[in-house]
Amino acid sequence: MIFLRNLLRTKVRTALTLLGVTVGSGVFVCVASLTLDMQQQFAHSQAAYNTEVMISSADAGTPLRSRITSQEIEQLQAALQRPVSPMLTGQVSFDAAARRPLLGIDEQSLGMIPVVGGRPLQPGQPEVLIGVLLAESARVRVGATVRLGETEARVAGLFRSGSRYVDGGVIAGLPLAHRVLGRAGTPQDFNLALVQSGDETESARIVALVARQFPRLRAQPTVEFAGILQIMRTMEVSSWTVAFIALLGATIVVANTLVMVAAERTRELGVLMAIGWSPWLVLRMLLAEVAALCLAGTVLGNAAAQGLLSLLSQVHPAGQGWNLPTTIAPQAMLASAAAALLMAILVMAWPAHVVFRLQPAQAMRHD
Amino acid sequence: MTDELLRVHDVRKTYDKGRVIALDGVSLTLAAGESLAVMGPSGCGKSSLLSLIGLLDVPTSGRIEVAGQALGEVRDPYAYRARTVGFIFQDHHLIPAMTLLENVEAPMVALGLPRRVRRERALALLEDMDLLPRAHALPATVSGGERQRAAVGRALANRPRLLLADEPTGNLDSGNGQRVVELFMRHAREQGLGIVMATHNPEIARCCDRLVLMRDGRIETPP
Repeated sequence: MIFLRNLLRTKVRTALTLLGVTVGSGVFVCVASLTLDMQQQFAHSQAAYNTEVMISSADAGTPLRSRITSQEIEQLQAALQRPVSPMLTGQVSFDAAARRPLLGIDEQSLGMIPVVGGRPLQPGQPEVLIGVLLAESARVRVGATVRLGETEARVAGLFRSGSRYVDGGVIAGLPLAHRVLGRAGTPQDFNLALVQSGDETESARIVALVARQFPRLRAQPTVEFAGILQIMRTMEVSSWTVAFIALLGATIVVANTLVMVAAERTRELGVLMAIGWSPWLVLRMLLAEVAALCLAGTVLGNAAAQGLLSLLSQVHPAGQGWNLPTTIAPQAMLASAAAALLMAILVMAWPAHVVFRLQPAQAMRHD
Repeated sequence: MTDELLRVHDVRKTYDKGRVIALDGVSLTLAAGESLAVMGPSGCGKSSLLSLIGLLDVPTSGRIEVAGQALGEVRDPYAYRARTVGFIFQDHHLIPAMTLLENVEAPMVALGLPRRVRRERALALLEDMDLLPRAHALPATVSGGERQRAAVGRALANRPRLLLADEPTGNLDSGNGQRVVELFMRHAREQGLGIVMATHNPEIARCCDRLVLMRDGRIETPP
């Protein structure tokens, strides 16, 4: 346990370095978990409808900004020679409280919703399905009457799609969704159109056909849909930038510590080399100290991130219908461990530079 | 004692682009099992000479051979120091974060000896140095004499052919100094090691087989 004794020789500095690694690693894991979860929620929210091709307006950055008219839906059906399901998306205040996602779907899509309590929606009725997460957080039961904006609706059943975004919202038939979102005009418009393609080849054909015949629209396989949304990209880049900066900060803290160690222990390093230790052996000793710091900081950072996510998930997330993950993502955990390893190796550059240039005779005269 | 262990031939060492002359044409020899005391005032070049023999530094000119090998041709100075020489410094230079046992083991780590062998050999040396009860103590918690005895144990750990002692008793009182010197002299005799000891203490120097005097980087007494 020589490395531990060395670390404990400067307790305050070791504690501060450990804190730096913990914070850096914790922020990284937290941000990475949130980002990965968000990506997953987007993907699930599309996949939940078992639809393979999604059509939106070509210039729309997000589904909320996309507009497709009922006339275009009819033209699409004629061109594709298959059913095209229009879909509405929007945000609505739920029981005069926080805003939640509202999805409006047509009659042919009603049967696809995985109902886990109550019954499916019946066409023409002022009723909705509530996601299990929303039902839990708002304590709403089947049969209750809820307010969506200014409109009242009865809860026909509960659904679970697997997407926390969708499961934190409401699904209604198109007429009710149009009314609630204030878009009941003539001709009606929708946000998206969903097409069951059956397989990848057919999906590709539909995408090509829409690109050729409907220049205002854009079709994508649903699995790709979330990934190409501009807003998602921006958020991803921002999030990963924050995560990277957090790791960089931690690396600088550890590097600073090592620079000080190399300066303070020059004489010791010289003695070790005088008794036959090679520079590699000396570096191995220092690496053990750095690795211990990075590993401990990563473990503590992961624990802190887990605690923070648990805490955040108890708080309503700004009323946008997002449900924060309650556990850190395994990928984030692995990435933080890999980053710690990389950090430990990177920060060894300076000690390596010092040790390989060290003249033992001079080093032993060092104060 | 005809088996020559060390040959220093016309060695010169300068610093600061030749402005400072540490050694000026030093020549000497040492047979295996022989001990040589190098005496002289501070700054006369004793430590520089030991540094060159231990390959902690390289001469500006001249030739040094240890056990028939020219040091200028040694490719791995670390392996040379680990295998061939043992250092005893004036200031014990033990590693503060290592126990006495670990300090004695340290040179054996450089040789890549198995942990069990290292432990056994280090414990035997500590017992010989009368330090077994302090084996797991850190250097800061033991006396100066005990530290220096541990440093002797460390110097002997890899069973070197040549022991280089640079003012080994400089920081010790006369009793402890005498004890430390007796310890490594006894080991040297038992194992047939050569010793080059820099000292300014005539009593300690008398323990050696031969004595040379140095002044201003030169040897005054013919070796």
